[in-house]
Amino acid sequence: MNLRELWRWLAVASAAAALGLGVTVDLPRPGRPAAPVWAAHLSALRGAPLPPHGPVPLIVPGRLAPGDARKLLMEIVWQRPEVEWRPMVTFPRNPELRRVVVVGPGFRDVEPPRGWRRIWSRGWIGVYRWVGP
Amino acid sequence: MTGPMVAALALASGWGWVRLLDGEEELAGRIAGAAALAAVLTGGWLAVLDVAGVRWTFPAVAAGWLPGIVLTVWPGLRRSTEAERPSGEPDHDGPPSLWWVLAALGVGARVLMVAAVPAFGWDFRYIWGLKARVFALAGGHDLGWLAQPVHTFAHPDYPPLWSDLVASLVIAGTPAGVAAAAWGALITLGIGAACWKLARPAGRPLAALAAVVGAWFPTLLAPDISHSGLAEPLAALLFAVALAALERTDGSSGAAGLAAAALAGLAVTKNEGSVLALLMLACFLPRSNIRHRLWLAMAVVGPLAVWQVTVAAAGVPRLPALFDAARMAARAMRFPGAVLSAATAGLVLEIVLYAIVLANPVSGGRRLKVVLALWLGVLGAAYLVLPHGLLWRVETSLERVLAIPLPGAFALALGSGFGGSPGPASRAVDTGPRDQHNAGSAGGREEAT
Repeated sequence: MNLRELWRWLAVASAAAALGLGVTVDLPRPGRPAAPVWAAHLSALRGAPLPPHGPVPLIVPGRLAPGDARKLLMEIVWQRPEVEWRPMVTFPRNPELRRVVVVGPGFRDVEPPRGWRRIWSRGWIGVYRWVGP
Repeated sequence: MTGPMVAALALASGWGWVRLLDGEEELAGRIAGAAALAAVLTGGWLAVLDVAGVRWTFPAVAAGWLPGIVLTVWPGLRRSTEAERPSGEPDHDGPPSLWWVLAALGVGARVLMVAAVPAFGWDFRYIWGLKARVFALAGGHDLGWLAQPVHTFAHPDYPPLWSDLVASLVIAGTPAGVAAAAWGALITLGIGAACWKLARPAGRPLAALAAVVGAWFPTLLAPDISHSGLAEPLAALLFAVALAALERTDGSSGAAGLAAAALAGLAVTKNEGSVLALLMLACFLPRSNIRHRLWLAMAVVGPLAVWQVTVAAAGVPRLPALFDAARMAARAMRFPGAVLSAATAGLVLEIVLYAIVLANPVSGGRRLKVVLALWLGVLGAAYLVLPHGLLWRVETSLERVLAIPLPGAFALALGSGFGGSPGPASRAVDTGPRDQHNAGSAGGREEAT
């Protein structure tokens, strides 16, 4: 068997292997996750009363593992891509930012500072409004 | 309108342009070309609307498909191959062979599967599909959104073609995942057809095998969180179609036009596609007998340049490259180990396929080998300078990125390895029902399929 014949055998065998692996991998399997786990907790964000324009501060309380806050942020942006999200550590001192969103499993434990009141909550989401001092 | 119906309109539009270009004799080539042109011309039209300040609405987008659909149904648009053939000769699209039917069934099954599962991959949700929804909401490329630092996870600097295509159906009211599935089905069809065309010199059985392997390629459209809805299949289609067009040796304007369109689309499909398109230009164009090569090169480079300048001017952040010699050297030392650690069956298969393509003892496809070797080198260099951990980078991206050129490259390798190299330019003129690449075929008239 010369080099060309060997190459041909290997090529056909590889093609068959590729097809076999492709059929194995590409056939749909029941039970595969179709959405991230947090999507269920954050899908209610689509109905949250947020301003149509301007930045919205976003606070994610620190009860998540490292890296999870970033994943949560990505899901939040997916749920409301039109919102100009501004990640913050705490409630802003600027009352012109009239809405603040706190997202996370422990959002109900967050005590808003004076002047802020929670006006809406679903799942992992709390929306706060500036009502004045 | 549903996503698949709208994607079918786009395909019909692409078909019309393929007829006009008159660059393809074979049905498979026309299907592949139609799929590629459907994608590229849709993206191009959206870019024109964006530059002109016209909001992306479904009527505006559909208006871009209208000329192609008119060309599809125009009865007077006969291919020159038909016009030149003496009367009495049978049409070379004769009855399909058994192998063609088998390939159609295999590819068709995959097309239906892809269309049936809305995209749900991680990167689709947070990069491609997200940007598609943003663009659809804004009615164009929302540079302000892309420039916001909070959105850097979405790779805002990436060339936008895949997101634009998804957006074109989101505008029509289709959910992003369904839109991606509809385009994915069209892309799968195109890849299968392109692979048939590229492998056709090897005979119909191997062409059928190549078509089905291309459509079922394990690391491109796998329905899992790491692969569903990504941009790599689009890049694979455009590469395969460009390769088929550039491998033609007749220098026809139709083939040149198709190559230009496919490469232009590839250049604006991910950064890896940009590099691949530029390498194809550099390696194939200088020695080709395509006329107006400079114009072709400008047609390919132009859209990419416009996008890069636009995002730079808008202050869109880019992933930083870390050119630290010590860091690069350390990563280079660890790279083989990282590949071994990340080795899956799919990655091992890809390495084997690359070896087969590059080791093809037949002299044909030399330019492809140079392109692939250079592209792999650039890819490797990228892994040395990109931020984040090397193992994480390799595990989450190497397998799907390597897949981009493989369906087309492997099909071409089969075609040249079993069927011989393409003939010289003087033989490849459209004079009748003849497979232009089948230098080793038996005598007599063959079906184009």
